[in-house]
Amino acid sequence: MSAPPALSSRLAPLLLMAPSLLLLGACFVAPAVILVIYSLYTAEPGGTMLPVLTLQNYTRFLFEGLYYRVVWSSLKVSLTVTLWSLVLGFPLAYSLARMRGRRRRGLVVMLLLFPLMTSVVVRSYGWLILLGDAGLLNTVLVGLGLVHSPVRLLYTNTGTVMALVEVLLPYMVLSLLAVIQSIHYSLEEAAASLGAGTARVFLDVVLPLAMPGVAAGSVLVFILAIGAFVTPALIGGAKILVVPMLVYQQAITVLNWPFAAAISFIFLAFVLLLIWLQVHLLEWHHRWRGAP
Amino acid sequence: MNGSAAFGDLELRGVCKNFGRTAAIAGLDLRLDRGEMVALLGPSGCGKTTTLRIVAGFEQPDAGEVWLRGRPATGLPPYRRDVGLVFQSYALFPHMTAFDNVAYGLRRRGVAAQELRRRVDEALAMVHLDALGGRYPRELSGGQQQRVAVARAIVIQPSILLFDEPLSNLDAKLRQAMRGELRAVQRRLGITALFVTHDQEEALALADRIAVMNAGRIEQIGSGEDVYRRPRTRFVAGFIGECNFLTGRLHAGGQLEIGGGRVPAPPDTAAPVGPVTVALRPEDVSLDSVPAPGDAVLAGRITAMVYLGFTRRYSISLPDGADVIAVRQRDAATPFRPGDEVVLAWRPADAVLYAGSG
Repeated sequence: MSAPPALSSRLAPLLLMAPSLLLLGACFVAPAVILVIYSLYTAEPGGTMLPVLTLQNYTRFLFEGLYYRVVWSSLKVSLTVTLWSLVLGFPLAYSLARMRGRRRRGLVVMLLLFPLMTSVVVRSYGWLILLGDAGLLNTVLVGLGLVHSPVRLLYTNTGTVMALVEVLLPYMVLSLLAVIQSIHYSLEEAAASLGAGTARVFLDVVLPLAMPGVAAGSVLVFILAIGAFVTPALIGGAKILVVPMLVYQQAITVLNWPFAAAISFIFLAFVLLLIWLQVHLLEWHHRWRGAP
Repeated sequence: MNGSAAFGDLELRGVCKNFGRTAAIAGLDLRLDRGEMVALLGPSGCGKTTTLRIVAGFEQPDAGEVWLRGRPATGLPPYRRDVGLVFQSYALFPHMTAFDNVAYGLRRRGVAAQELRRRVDEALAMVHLDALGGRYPRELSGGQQQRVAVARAIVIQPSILLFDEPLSNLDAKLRQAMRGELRAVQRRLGITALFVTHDQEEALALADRIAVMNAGRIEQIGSGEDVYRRPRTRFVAGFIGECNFLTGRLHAGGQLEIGGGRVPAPPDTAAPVGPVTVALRPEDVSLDSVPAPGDAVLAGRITAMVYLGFTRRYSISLPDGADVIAVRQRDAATPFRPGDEVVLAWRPADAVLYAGSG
């Protein structure tokens, strides 16, 4: 047995990673760096930027009350989406995890992933057909006499939340599924044999042990929901402004690139903070469970 | 007389359970008296685990009844059964300390804080874990986890204690020690216990009675000595310990024709005249040159010998071509070698006959 040459063994991983690193560097890191610089420039009316460094773009977003409403509606939509994904996703993930037969489970997971295989625009127009005043949902509701006049769903938070939950549910379910599958079923049986009914088994055993999945899924869905642009734009309409739409408006309509860049970075910082929190929450959770 | 004597702590009556088209349990009757420890012994797939799960309430029987302490329990969910269960994997709650694991059943029963503390400490002391109540399962060794699982099951003072392959996850040395401890705890509490195992040594060492199961039925239930010395079926004889099976013919007058000779049949055999299978334990086959009077005697030739330290194991070929294994301990005489002509002898009462030559 001859050892591989030291040089090539050290270089090989680097060479293998080089293409993707270059792509990421050129298409993501470099523009991001440029954006950081832009965010510090001074904006002039009419879409020009002066290379005069200032923090004004940041302070404007953070301290001028004007944008709090946008942030608040973004947070509200994303939190609602996260909550509904959790409420709908947990029973689904649990049943999947406890399902016998690998093929059947694979089939349901496939069905679950269907929304992700459709383009976001097509999916959103589908929702337009369903949610409109003369749409399918309202036709059925009125036809059954459940409501007198059509319920306003389109261009509301409710419609946006429904559409986002549909497409983000798979992320929640898959995050939960992995964790719930690792909870041995005998733990539930042990709790039952010790006198715990179904609800207690869930509260005492399944839920606490599924917390890492709940945290991961919630952070993931929240981040994707708060960053969503097309769905809120098409279904929420122009009335409900969320942060990504504000960025779009500033960059494309107002042509205030420095301000748009600053909002993006404040946003990015927020999302990174969430991810950091999730990772550390998991660590604390493990420590609490007595893991090494 | 208390009520338990009339009923037994556990009674299964005519229990049947099918999975799809296959019958996992086909008409099972079993009764455990107060303080008794019974082993369900059998190969995998014989229905022993399903039986345990039916007693625990995780499976419902398709037919038959389950009675616990003289009360009907058929159809009751697990959390209403008062059954203490020790899982093969222990199934300790990983997010709770040993103390909280043991306390769980008492909390579900609404036991007051002070009494709970006392009973949990008592249970932990009984399994010698008094000092480790604050540890999480991950911080405990396999043997310690097993003890927590036992403490968790006994602390609720269940009507019956169930074990699913309780020692199979421990290494051989620890298993020996835990066997003794399990037995001691069970005896001290006078608790009725049913355990499932595929390990005959475990069953022999732990159980007051062994129920040997095969294909969803109990083939024989009795003391260890009963099932070993007087196996009622060929399956039991073959499953517990090692056994030679010889086909032959039982003639009227207690004469047995096997291995190219005629020998006295077991005096109390129930087998009818005709083709029979003779079950003979290797340690019952003597190779001494002078058989005792009344012994069954056959001629044979050694074909192989394996030295096993305390014993020697001989393969012997009979004139009709059948093979017999004989195990002899520390033969005083010089050991036989392959090719040696020997005289096999056994006490007729040591052999067991089964009708048919299957």
